[in-house]
Amino acid sequence: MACDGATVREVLDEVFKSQERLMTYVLDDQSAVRRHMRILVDGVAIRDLEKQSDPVKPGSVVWVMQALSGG
Amino acid sequence: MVKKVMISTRKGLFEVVKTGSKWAVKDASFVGDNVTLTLHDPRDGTDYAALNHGHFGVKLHRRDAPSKKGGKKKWVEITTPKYPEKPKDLVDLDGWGKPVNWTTQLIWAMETGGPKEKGVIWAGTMPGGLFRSRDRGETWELMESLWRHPDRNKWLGGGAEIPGIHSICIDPRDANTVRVAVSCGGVWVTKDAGKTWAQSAHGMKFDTGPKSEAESPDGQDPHMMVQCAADPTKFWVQHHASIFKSVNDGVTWTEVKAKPSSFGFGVVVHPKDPKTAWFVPGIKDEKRIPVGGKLVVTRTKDGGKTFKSLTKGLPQKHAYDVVFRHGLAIDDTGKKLVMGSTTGNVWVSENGGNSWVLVSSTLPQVYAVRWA
Repeated sequence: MACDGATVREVLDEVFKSQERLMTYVLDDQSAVRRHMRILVDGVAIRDLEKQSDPVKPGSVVWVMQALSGG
Repeated sequence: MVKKVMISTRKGLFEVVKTGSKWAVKDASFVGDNVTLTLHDPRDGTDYAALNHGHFGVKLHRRDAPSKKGGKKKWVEITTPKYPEKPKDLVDLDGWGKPVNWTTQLIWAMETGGPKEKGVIWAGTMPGGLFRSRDRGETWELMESLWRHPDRNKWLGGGAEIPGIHSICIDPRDANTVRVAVSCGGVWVTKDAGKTWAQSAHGMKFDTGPKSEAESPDGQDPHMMVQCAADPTKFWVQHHASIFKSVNDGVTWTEVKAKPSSFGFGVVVHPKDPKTAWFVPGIKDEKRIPVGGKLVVTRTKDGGKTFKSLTKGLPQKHAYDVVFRHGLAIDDTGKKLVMGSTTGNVWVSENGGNSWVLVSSTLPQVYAVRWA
């Protein structure tokens, strides 16, 4: 979906506005990225997992992915 | 009267009912997902299921009671207990000295409030927060009085890396009195609906380590705590080191030794007879399998003076089942018991444990069983 925002967190907040419960799947109680979730901007993993302050440019693509493990 | 058993497993929630003379799995929900605990509320027929997705975190689901015509309702995701924002400059370390992550990492206990408190439910969590909802899980409040208690920083992880509340006993005489057991953090009691809390694990002890540590109430590891419904001054605890009982409202605890072992996780007490309790022993803490490969349930009927090993219907050769702390449950008559193991076996007894019937040997690892 297309979103406005200058940082990853601003983009995420746009998405969570329309899908409130989704936030609890991606971020923990302290709004940090969950342990096994990974967020990439234009193919590069973000570094600020606590505040998601990494910049997003106009036209950037933000990926939210999770690792899968276990048996 | 109970009608079914809800079985929480690593790969789903399975519901067992008796048809004719046979107990069998009838329904399955959340298949493939990690269901860690359920709660049935007899006051309004609601069921609750706690899931731990790992990657996506802990989630809570609710299913309303079936319609009067018996039409089953669907599970709906509801709000999960959430920790408040951690103060920016707060140094919050657990008993190991590790920083506490203020995030719900497991719902390890769920209980209904008092009979007159319709809609009130309680949840105990890792890393140690106790939550109460007054509206069937729509919203939750952290029990700040316990969470901010300075002694909470003495709590530490046992088998898990972080501490947690796994047992909640709402006092049948007065729902404002609540006791919780913490691994590892002893037993905590409030008598004013959560305004104040006090340690209540005095007398519990480990049999190794320096005395100051071994007998410190704050470091005790009660694996499971239960209270007798009809005689609520009486409690049983399956502790990491042994079995303990209290006959004075949890003010003091005394050790009880059982054969073939006093080590285990689960305990249930007869709802009408405080001297009758059941346990599922393992060899010892560093060897968590049944003694001699024989799965037994131990039962005392005399307050812990003697124990009988109940074996009829249970595997007595190469059995390596472990029954977790919520893997043993009793109904409100005291006759029906259900037990689920780490190897996916489930047994039911309808005669107080004298004999057991295998319900399934092919379920995923069982975390919790509950009559509903």
